[in-house]
Amino acid sequence: MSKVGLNIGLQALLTARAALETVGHNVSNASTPGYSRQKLHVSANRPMMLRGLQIGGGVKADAVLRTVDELILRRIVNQVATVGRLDALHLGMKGVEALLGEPGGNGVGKLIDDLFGAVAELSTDAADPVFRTALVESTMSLTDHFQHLAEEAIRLRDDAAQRVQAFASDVNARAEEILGLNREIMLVESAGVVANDQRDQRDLALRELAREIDLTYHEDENGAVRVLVDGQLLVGPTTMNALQAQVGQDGTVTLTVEGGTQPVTPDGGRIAGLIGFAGDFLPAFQEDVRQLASDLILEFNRVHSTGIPAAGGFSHLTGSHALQDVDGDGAVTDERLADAGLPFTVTSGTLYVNVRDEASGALVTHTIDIDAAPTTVADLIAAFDAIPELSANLDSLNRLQVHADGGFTFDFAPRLNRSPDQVAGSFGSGRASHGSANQGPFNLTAGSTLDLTGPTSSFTVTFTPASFADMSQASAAEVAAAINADPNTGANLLRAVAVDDRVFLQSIGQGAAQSFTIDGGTALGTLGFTAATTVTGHDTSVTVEVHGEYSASVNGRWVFRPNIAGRVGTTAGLQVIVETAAGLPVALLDVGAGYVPGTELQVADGLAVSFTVGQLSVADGDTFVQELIADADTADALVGLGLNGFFVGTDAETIALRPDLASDPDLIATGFGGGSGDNGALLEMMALQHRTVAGLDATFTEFYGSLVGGIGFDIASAESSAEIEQFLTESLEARRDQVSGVNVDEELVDMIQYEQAFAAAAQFIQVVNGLQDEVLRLL
Amino acid sequence: MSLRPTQASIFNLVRQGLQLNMARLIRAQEQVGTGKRILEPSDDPLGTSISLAVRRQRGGVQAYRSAIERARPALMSGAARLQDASGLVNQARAILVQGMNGTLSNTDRKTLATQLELVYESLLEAGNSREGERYLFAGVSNDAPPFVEVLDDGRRVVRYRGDGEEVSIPVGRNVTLEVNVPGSEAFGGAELTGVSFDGITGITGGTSASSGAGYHDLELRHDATVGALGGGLALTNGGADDTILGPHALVVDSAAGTVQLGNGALVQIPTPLPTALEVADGDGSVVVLDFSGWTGVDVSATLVGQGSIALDDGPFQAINLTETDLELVDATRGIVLYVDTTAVTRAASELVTFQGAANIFDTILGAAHDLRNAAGLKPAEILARLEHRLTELDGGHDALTGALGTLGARNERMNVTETRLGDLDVHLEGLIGDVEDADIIEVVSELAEAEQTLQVAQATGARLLQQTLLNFIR
Repeated sequence: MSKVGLNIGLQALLTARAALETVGHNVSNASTPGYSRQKLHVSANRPMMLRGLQIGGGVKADAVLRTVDELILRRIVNQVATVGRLDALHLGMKGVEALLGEPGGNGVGKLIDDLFGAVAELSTDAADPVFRTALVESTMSLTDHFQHLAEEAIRLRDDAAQRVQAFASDVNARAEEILGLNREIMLVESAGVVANDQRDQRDLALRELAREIDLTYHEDENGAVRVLVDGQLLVGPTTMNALQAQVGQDGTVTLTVEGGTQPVTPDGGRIAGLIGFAGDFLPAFQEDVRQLASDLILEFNRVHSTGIPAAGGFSHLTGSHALQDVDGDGAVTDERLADAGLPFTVTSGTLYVNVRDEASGALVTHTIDIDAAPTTVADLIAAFDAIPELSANLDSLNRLQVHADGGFTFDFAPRLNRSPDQVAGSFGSGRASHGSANQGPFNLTAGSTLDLTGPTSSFTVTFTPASFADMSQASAAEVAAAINADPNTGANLLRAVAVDDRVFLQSIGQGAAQSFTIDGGTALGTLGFTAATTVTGHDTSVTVEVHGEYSASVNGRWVFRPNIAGRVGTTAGLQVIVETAAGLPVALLDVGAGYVPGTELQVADGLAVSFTVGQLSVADGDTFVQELIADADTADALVGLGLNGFFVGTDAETIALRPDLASDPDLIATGFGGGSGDNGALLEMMALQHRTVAGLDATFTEFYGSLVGGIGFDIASAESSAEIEQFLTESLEARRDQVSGVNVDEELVDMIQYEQAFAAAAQFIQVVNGLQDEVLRLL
Repeated sequence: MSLRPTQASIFNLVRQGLQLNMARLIRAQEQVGTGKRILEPSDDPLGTSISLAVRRQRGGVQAYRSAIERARPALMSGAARLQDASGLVNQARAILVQGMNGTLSNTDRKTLATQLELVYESLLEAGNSREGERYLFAGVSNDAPPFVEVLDDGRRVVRYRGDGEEVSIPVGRNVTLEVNVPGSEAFGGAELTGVSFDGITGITGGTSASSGAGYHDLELRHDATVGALGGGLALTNGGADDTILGPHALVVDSAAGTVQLGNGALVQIPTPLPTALEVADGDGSVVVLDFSGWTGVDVSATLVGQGSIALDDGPFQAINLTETDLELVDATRGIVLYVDTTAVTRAASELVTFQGAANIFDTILGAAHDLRNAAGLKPAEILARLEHRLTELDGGHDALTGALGTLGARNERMNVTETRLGDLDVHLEGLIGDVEDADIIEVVSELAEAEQTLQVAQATGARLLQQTLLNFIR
């Protein structure tokens, strides 16, 4: 009995002590992160049959087990990954938000306002040097800010990449820790004991790992966990594959695990948040800023390229965009304009080129038709060269250069030629002038002739294919150039000009003494001349002047011709017929008897015209053409080539004020060729403020507003998601705590309980001992 | 699962409660400190979008306002200078009317001419007035004085070097406002109405229309007088001093001792017989006769004056006085003039006026020129010319007051626009405030609430943390 009794007492003592030790362990780890409350499991010993009685065998301690809910742990691991992703994303977005400095700060919106404000101020006095400098300054502030945004966006991207790398090494440290714990747990548990504290540590390490990258894990029969990221093994029972983050040239991060073939694309964790920020959110922001800058460049350059500085037109211009040899055959000139590597697309349309004789002020407007598909760089250069006073070439950097001959300037302004007949002189001028009845293109054949008699000699002009691009489609300008190229033409003081696609033969001098005869030739019929036509000049010359401003929004061309022969202001019933190029009637102007010469007659679209005294002839085909320009570059050729732009560059990173405008603000094209106070171009720029820009499908400010608002929405929604997920995590943590946390009071109760049990066991041993003594005394 | 609180969760609870309330307190404090509800777009994305849109709208309004502010001085002083000019033209008119008084002496007229020239100087100054570096009445080419006095054919004339363009400033979405009137409109003439002659020589317009502008001199020169006189009479200096053109009857009445040219006044033949007696026709043409060889008989003869004509300083061409549509071209000045010479009776300088096309400076200068009588005209002829000038001056004044009215209307439009923009600016500022600014009352009550909650949390937390069994063990 005593032996049994002592044994029972001893086991009770040992069990109570173990229980007390567990309580001590719990209390001392009450604040340890990841610690799970441990509990001593006790059971009664097998009973013994003594004296026919089943006597209990006392107590025994079975195991120390931690109290955990594996399911909650798994949910926490998932949740931590989600929170990690949202936190990292949110943090990145906040960086962009701070970059914008809105609302109320000096962001792009305010700087665009400032730019338009400076344009508005300059428009009140286009010549004012202070306002010009102010415009330069505010433009540079805007471009600097755009560049700052672009640079900072790249910096944010690089930061994110660096942090991904830092997190990856963190992941590897955690993985190593888990691997170590796996080994320890397997070792411990192979002895049949639960490795409580190591498991707690491993659970904690899994949670920490999930904060960086989302993972799945499975425990095998030996107690080791296998950790997978995006389906690829990171940690196994005895091995681990390190996570590697590689940063590409463009800042993109590629994740792989050691030995893995596929890149890892995590859905959760801070790494996923950063990759999402740098890979989706930031590029979208960069693209928006790029588009805003690009369209700002496009729209401002559209206006500015057709403007003229206060000092007048250009003697030469060099484009700021290089043409590229896209097909790689070593020649740039064979590239089509639409496909010559220009940053802004050249479309089909018309480019108007005005050439001004600085001495006389005479202005001639030429048109260059551009069809984006077939027009090549060489065609464009040839078209410039075809304008008598201009020449074009490519510089060493393959940028287009245009030069004017000495004494001439050129521009691309939508300007109104106020003296449309000054140069051609084909409408009642003093010259002997006769126009062809037919309009070009003319179907000439090689060797076609035109026989003329001038004051000096009779001569024959022979047309050869060399003078034409296509002789069967000869344009009036080509025919005129071919006639002028014949030395006899000049020797006889004659010339040819092309007006309204007709060829006009003219004397160079003016007056009734001027005379020449069209004798004949094989080209007569094609051109629409009559044989033996003698033409004489006049002492008076009709001066045509155009007044007002063209108010319509589309380009056009009016052709003016008289209805009958007669004198302006004298001949009854004399009218000038105004038609569009297509032959649609525009107006009928009474210039006959009762017309006071010099009086303005309203035509249409804000324009009026006046005529002075002179003789008009129907037989000589008197005609003049008024080019009506609303948009001087419908093909966007100037913007594409970067001729006379306001900005240089193509996007937010490269946008800048054209350097020579910055150093000489007088070069800012404020007008369209009026006087020094002409602010036409500035008013057009002002109109951009409220114009819906095609590329943005909004006005500049609307686009910017939605850009900022969109970022605000993204951040706010990420923020509230993060809050919700954080709350969810906390509630899961609370639930884990309810299961696994240590309640000190509870432990104290346990402690007292086992303390008393210990005391009772001791007492029991004493009693057993006493019993023993009693028995011994009996002996 | 039954609630099983643990120490860690109690501490967490207290900690979270304190953090949450502290954060609310800080946020409220931030709003009170800055006065703004939206500090970052994510504070209120929708509000930020609205605020940005309104801010941009306000930016536009402010650009327009500053444009108006910059343009206003020029408009105001333009109107003021036109007001001055109008006064000056009235002054000129008064002087001109005074000069038309037939009783004035040459000296009086010259005094008036000097006065007119002074008025002209002031008017020219008004026409060339500046605001800063800009010439107000030069149109768009406003970097040089628009009105320049030049000598043309020895006469002072004023040329307009500006243009007829109007300067517009942006004052709204695709709305512009003109802020000037070009000098060609304010100081130029009125509508063209045709050509007129002052009628001294009897020349009239031809059948064809003429074109040109301003005032021009048409010189009709006497070249020779032909015709048999008889009675021993001769032409003094071979007729070099005569001014007759075309046929004129000469009658010498020996009985009365008079001589008469055409329907002119009878001239007494003085004794001793003169070598140079000027006899004038009713139209003002004269022949100078040498009576020294007069035999004392009646003479009835027809003298024919031959002459030439020239426009401005152009070459003279002979006229036979049968042309009904003689073409005279002055290419340099862009004038084509058609005249009918059939009624010409005398040589003189004829003033050709392209009515309505003379600028007001030329009219005043011309009037001064007439008053100085450089052409040696008779008072009646001066009067005829001055009447011409007066009509032109009145036309010019109408144009000037018209321009003044235009500027006034533009000024008014500018004021209305500025008032509207000012109101809009204030309104938009208010809108931005509504969206962005913190509602102080709301924020302060929030602040108080957060403070209170924080204190409660602190108090309950403190109590909660004190609860432990340890307090009761021994």
